[in-house]
Amino acid sequence: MSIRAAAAGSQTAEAEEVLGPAEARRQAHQASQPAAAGAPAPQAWEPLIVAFCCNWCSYAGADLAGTSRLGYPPNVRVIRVPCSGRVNPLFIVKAFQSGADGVLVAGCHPGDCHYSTGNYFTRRRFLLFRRLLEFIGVEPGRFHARWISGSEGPKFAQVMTEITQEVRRLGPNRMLRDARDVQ
Amino acid sequence: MKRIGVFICWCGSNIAGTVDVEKVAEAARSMPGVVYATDYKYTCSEPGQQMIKDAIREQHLTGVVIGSCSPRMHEKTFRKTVESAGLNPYLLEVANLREHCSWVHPREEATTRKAIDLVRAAVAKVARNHPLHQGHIPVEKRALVIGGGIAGIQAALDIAESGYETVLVEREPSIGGRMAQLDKTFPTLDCSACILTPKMVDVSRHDKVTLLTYSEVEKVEGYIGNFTVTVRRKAAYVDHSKCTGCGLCMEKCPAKKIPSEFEMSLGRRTAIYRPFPQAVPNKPVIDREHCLKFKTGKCGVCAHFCPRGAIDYEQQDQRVTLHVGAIVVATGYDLFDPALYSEYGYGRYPDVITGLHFERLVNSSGPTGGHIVRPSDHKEPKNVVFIQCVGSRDEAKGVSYCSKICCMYTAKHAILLAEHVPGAHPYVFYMDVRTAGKGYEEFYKRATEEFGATYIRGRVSKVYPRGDKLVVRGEDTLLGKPVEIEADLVVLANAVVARHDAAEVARSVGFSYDGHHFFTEAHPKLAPVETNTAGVFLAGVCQGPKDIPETVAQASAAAAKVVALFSKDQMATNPMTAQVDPACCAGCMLCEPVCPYHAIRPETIQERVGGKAISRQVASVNEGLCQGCGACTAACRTGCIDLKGYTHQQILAEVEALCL
Amino acid sequence: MTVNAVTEKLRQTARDLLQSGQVGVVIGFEDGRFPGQPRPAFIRRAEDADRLVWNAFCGANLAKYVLDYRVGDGKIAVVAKGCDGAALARIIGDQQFPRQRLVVLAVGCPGMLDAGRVADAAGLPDGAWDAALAQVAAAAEPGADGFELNGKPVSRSAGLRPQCVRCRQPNVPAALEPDVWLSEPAPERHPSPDQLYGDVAALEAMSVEERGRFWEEAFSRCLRCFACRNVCPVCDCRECVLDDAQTRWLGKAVNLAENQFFHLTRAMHVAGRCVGCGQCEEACPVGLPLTVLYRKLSHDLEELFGPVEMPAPQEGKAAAGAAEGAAAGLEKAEWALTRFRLNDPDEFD
Repeated sequence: MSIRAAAAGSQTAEAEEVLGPAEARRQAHQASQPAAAGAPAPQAWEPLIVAFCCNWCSYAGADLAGTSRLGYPPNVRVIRVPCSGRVNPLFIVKAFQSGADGVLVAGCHPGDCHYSTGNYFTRRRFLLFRRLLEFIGVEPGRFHARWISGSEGPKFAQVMTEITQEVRRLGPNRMLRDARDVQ
Repeated sequence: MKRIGVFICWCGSNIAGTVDVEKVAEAARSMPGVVYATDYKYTCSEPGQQMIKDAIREQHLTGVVIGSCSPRMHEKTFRKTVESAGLNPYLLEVANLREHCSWVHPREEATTRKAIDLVRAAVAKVARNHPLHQGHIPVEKRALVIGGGIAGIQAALDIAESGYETVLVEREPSIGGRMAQLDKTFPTLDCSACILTPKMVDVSRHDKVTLLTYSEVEKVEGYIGNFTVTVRRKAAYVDHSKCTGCGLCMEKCPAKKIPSEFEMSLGRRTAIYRPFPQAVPNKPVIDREHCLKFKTGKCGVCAHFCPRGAIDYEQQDQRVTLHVGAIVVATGYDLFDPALYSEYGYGRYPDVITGLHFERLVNSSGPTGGHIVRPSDHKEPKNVVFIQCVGSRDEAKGVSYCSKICCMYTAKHAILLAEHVPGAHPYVFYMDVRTAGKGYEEFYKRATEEFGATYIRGRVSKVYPRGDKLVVRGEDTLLGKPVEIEADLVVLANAVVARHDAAEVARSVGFSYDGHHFFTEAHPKLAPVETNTAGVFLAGVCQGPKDIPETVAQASAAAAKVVALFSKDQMATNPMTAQVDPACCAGCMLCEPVCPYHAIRPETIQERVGGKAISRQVASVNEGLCQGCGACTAACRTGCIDLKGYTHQQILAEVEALCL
Repeated sequence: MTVNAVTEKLRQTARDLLQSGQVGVVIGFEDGRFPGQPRPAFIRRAEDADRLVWNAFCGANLAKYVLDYRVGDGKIAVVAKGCDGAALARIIGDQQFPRQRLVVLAVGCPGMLDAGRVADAAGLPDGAWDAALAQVAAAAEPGADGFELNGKPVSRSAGLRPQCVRCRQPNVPAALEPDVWLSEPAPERHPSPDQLYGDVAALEAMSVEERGRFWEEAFSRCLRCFACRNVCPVCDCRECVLDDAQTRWLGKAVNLAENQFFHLTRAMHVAGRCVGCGQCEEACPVGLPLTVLYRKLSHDLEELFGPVEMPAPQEGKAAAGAAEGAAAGLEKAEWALTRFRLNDPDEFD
């Protein structure tokens, strides 16, 4: 084979033919996946929001929302992390992959980090990561980062309400999602 | 094989009233690894805890999940419960079914479903928990107190009296702080100096106290029990080991017209000076900025006259390294600049002064010898207008909070004025008079009833000169009428604000501060003198406005915390620290800059590669320094730094369990 | 066939270095099976130095290979264009290879040619371009702005590899302080914003749904051969997170979701570290526009936090005999994601 043929082959449909249509592969994979056990009843879709909250501020803010009985939609599930700086962007991809419709990373306000500087790294990392997500086609409303202090129970409830509403409006997430067509 | 037990707490009706707890327990029974699940009315009660212990033993549990209130509430309690049944305390996870679920969601199916999800995530996590063990680190039984005002003095004295060495660092040439500038104290009218100076002397003479004045803390490294502190001793250009404090140099110094900071520029000082006559140590320093020797190279009068040859123009700043186990921060406060309220004319009219100026004017060792006179013409004022809340409680131009001490010191000023100047009349413009405190309301009453102070509720709109008087125009909001007072002197009660460099101090020591730059206590109710950095405590106004008795109480509280820490030889450490897998670590050290505790350092390991022994660099975590934030874990591309208790696997398992 | 001056100097230098025992290996290029496709060469004996060549097709990034020599303490010499040099600096900054074990043989790079593009531009008929490309390859720098081939004038830019069109670093970073210059440094290059980010901007201009479709279509093609990672000179970890069988970040199934996880992971890991050598796209058998992703992130990082700092060796090369294995005399790598400023932009409230 001449170089040119090889070069062309790597660029065009030839390669795909050898691979088989991507769609076919995806379907084959999905057919082999068991339906998710214990999934919510299919009749009414409810958004699922995964929130990574730092222990010292945002998790405490969520606790305060609780002690103050400030209601918000039950679609939010909080994962406790010591610091928002602990949150690897890959966790967010995993959450979307596993079926989350929206993801929040919440930490102390810049300057108030319990560990003094963790959230500054969070800020950089997720300013970039948010752009990456949007660039590959994840709707902007699905990923959020917020600063919520331990005294901001009302803000926690409000943010959760807003995000749930926004994600509900966007509908079920399909980007990055594993075995998306099973449902 | 995992054997996980799940305990769903009703919390009376707090959880059970909203969440179908039986259904949650039922659902838990079919979760992977769960061999036992039940619900109980009060899990944290004695019988509740006993039930958990029995289940651990009978069911041979390897992990426990408790669905209850927030882990921030009872995680510690339940860890002890689990431990007393012979299980490692870190093989426990708490699902937050109360604060994050039953208290914020309605009684409906979705809420119970959420509770089940939260329990499932906790089960998935605990299945990946590993036993963790506390380490122990030695405690350096020496304290550092930053700030030599009344707070720092009291804290240092209390710690030293308990038998522990204490280093007291003060950036000014003398300890004493703000209290040394005050004349009398409310509500008893004790002479401030009479109660403060003996304490200043006590602390300076105490054999357990090392006093470092004219010194600043530059750097704090390390962690509770093991801080390394760098202190810069500013060059005084006077060898204090030789100086006897005779004062001849100050007498002879030709630069005599320098505004005295201590006297609020109402008095003058020399270039070689001590801030005030009762200074401790009572030895001078040279103010390089104004000293003729430093400015022109010609002078040297002080060196010429010093009988001990103590003057040393060549002296350099020195750096001292201290090893301490605990730090008390008592850095005090600044005062709000009233010039920002241009309507009051502060800075424009010399007879508009602040409360602290008034303190110096009325003080018998002050620039006027205790005679209250106008700064402009040294005449005795008759009508004196006091304006309260200058900056305080004014979000638009000043600060949102109440400075707490101004109502009381203004009442004191009114009384002192009436006492010192026969026939004088104090007028006070106020927003509210706040007199919470023992004997405070009575004191205020005396000012109005006994000393005839006229209190006018309302704000002043303008102060302007008329002849040699100042016209104060305002409104009496109780009468709804404008008022105009011809005053000889106007005294502004300007707000208490954080030190201008408070944020830098907080950052260098490593704790947090609020939006006003006051230092943040670890908990506003239950940990009011702790900071969120273990081993660092707060005392005095650096934490928020307070008066002297409160400051002293807080200082003693901080000292008690230090002493409690020092009462043990060793301290247990947090076992949830970062951990490097050296086999996979490439030693790129990109984790190093993200660690706020400098806990990550390169380490050389030996390894066999292709049958050959080699040594190479990897990252390594000092578990004594690591506070478990996990920032390094997200910085590591390889994922080979993990955080014990919050591992990648644990968090990913939680994510998957929640999204199921 | 004549040997060009750079090749001449390269061979002589390599011979000297090997003969004197200063280095154990010289990493450069030799003729491959096809003209216009030289391949990396690892010359260990002075008598093999004449295998080395330098021509306008030496595009591959050689920096990655130094990682194969991490174990050991002998020196190695590497031929370095601008992008090789940038990658070497990154590897040194990441403390994966000490500068004092390297002999950097710098070449000014006016941009490397792509055989297919040259053939297209010259209108070479299939099967007839081997000899023609050999002719081009013989010269280190065939005509400043172009050359004649098949009787046609071919402009140099028409034959350039796409990453070379975008190149901003034709020479090794000054801080690397090359040991030998095999050629004159190449003149500075200033690609237009459109050349640099035109394709990124075109995607940004799409709706989020369109972009989603674009990338899904692309990532669906991925075979997960990991060639992009394996060839990437800044993928300098000892073990890749994607291979971590214990935590299993990346699932084993080759499906769209896992492919996306793979590429998002890689994108975050090279964000601000990518040197733009374009090896990933060249190696990709299914034509994924990977550098679009990486350039997007590099661009955003720069826009958000200012220029991305290159790791820079300190003044002067580390003294010979510096501590073994230590990256003495070199600054540590700065990565935009492991540093911060208090006044960084904040879009999260």
